[in-house]
Amino acid sequence: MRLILCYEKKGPMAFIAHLDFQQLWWRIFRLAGMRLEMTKGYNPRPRMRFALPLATGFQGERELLEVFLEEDEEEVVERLNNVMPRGLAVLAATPVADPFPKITALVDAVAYRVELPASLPGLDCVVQVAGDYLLAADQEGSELTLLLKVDNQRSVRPDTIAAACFPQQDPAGFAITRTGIYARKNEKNSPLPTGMLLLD
Amino acid sequence: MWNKLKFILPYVEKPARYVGNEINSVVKVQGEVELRFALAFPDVYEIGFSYMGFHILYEIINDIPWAQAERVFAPWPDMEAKMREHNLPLYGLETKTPLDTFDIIGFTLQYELGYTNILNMLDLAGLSPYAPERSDFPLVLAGGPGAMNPEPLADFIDAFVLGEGEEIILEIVETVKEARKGGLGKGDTLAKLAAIPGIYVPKFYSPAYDANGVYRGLKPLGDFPPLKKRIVNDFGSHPLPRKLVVPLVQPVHDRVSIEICRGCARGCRFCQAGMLYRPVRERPRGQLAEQGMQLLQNTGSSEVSLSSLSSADYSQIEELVKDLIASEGTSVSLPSLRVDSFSVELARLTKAVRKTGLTLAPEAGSQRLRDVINKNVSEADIFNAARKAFAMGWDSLKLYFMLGLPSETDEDIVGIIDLVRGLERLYRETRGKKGRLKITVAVSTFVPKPHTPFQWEALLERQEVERRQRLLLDNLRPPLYKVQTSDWEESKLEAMLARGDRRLGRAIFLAWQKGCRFDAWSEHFRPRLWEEAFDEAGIDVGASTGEIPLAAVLPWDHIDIGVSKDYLLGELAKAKAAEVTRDCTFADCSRCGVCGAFAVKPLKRGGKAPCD
Repeated sequence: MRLILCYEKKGPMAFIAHLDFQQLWWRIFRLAGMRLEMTKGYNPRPRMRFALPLATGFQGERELLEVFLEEDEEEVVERLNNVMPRGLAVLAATPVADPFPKITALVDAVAYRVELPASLPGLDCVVQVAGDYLLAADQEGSELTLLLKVDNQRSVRPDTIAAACFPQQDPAGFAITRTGIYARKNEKNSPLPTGMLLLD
Repeated sequence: MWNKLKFILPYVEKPARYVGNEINSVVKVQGEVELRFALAFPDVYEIGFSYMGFHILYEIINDIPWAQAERVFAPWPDMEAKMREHNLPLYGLETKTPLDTFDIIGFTLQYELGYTNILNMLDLAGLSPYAPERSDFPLVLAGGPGAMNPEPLADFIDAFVLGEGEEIILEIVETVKEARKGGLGKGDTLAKLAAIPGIYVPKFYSPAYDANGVYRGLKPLGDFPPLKKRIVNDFGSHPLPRKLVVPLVQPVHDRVSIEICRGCARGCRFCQAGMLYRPVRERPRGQLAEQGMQLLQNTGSSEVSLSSLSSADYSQIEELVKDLIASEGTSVSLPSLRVDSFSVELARLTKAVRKTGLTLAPEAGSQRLRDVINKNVSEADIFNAARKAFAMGWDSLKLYFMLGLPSETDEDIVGIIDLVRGLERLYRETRGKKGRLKITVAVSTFVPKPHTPFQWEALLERQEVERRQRLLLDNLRPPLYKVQTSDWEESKLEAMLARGDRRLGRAIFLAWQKGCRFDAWSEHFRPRLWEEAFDEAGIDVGASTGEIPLAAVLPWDHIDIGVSKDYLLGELAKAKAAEVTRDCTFADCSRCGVCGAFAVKPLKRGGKAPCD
């Protein structure tokens, strides 16, 4: 059974590094009594793909994870949420079937909310640093929102942008939340899994 | 606290160490909690998780409706710097409340090189490291093997807990809760605790020294029960923990440990654990299989490690391993194998070993020296184990040896070299020219430890240790062999802290003040600062690491572990004569005294006897 999960990663959970986070998911599935398919080869691992890794320290409001379960399972969202530590919650689970593309191939853009130490005089520095990756930027008070293009899993980091605008502050000090993962619609990925946002 | 923390954490390495919130961690409604206990581990987060006692106490305390146990670990230096910069006090991981608001802080003393971290953690909590300077709660307790020579930490710890914690912990929390309810101060509460057998409150004992500064023993300043370690009444029926907190920073191995037996009677004369954890007791196989599986289910792990000081000695080890691996997707690991072919057979059953290679601990290179230390392993045992391992397809072997053992000569070192080369020849005979053998020879330096037959022996001097290490390094060269040696300075500090008396506290304080912490981590170990600290405290390092006269009063003589001093002296005499003593669970009683001291029936094992 192939599923795309939409989940949030908040508070303390934001500080779990990506590799540890991956292992945490394996454990959560075992605790929930669902078996993940294993990869073939010398060192089998559970089959699982993150849409786009989230940097340690960033929160995520609508993160996406693709998993392959050995059997068809029911009440997946509830069962996972029952064993999940605080700060982590599954919001939706969408079953998909071949030839639906890999979740990693779907990602065309991501949106972030960055809490800045003060409001910016203008968005020029953002434009300068983000270059072609910048699809949209907006500011309300000291809160900066960014929509950034993702090209083959590559993009520009929001903390890099913020740091360039506030050179006197250490880039680690900005509170950053990824608010969504976007795809462009085409015939192969339609309809989009719940939680994935449409880029138009 | 969280509002401050979340702005600090992005700057530190592995921030998940500091957030709590793990699967199976327990956070209670604070209004219902009458007693808060901080279980403190004086090393970094990931290290603390591998000590089972920590998990056991966490569960026992949190099973009490009115008590909350939280965990606290030593912050890594980068986090310490940030905490100091932002005036953030050390806090309990569960509720993120400052440590100084707890009723009890209890440190576990697993190894000596964590001692400066204890002082540092108290300081980070805004508390004085010195016990007399802390007039109020929290009480600072310490337990674990290090508490069996508590004197070096006597200046800093309010009360030491001796022996196994499962039962006494209940008496402690009950006593402290009642004391708090009755409005007792710290001093009166300590007096109540001192009345519990197994609790040692150092301030109620005064040390005496003669005119030459030689330690003459402790004088009790009141009427207290004897300072005898506690053991659990019926280990066999004591349940395993139901749940374990699962770390958010993943350790190297994702596994749960189940303690299949406690204690070891093999009688290696250098081994402190072998003396401290007697008598030998086993849990029934049925209980282990059932509760072990339950534990796997509750933690979401897939590997279970059968922990004990000598797993292969467990009466029904083969059956137990088969019980556990019968369940699909479960693997088993055996952390402490004997050097014999039975153990290798056993390891074959467990696929976990396949990846890591086989580890054997002959400890010494010649039969004479193995007899001196009472490591009852023959050359034939070693070769049989290796032959079997090679035949089964293992290509890597790790061998543990000790250097600087009493009576060791160059012949014994040559014995290690010959043994290792002999194993290589054996490999070629078994596997032909094709295989790619790798032998790791891990050589530690013998450090005399309290409560062992070798407690009076000397730590070998630096030059000599390094010369012997060189002998091995020169004769066992890469890429076929890899020799790992240990830093003599670390061994020296370990010896100092292990055997010190109360006067050592000053040196520990000075070393901490100069910046020593995480002494067990070579990247943070600062021998020069320790040197200065010993100097300023007026401690003669040479004399302290040397041989101790048999008639001397020892700084740990007041702590009764049930094993008699006569037995230790007898074992030392037998060592000098290279005579062995057999494991009493397979042979006759060795009269160590522990069964009598605790009125327990000696465990007798049938089945496969160890290799002697």
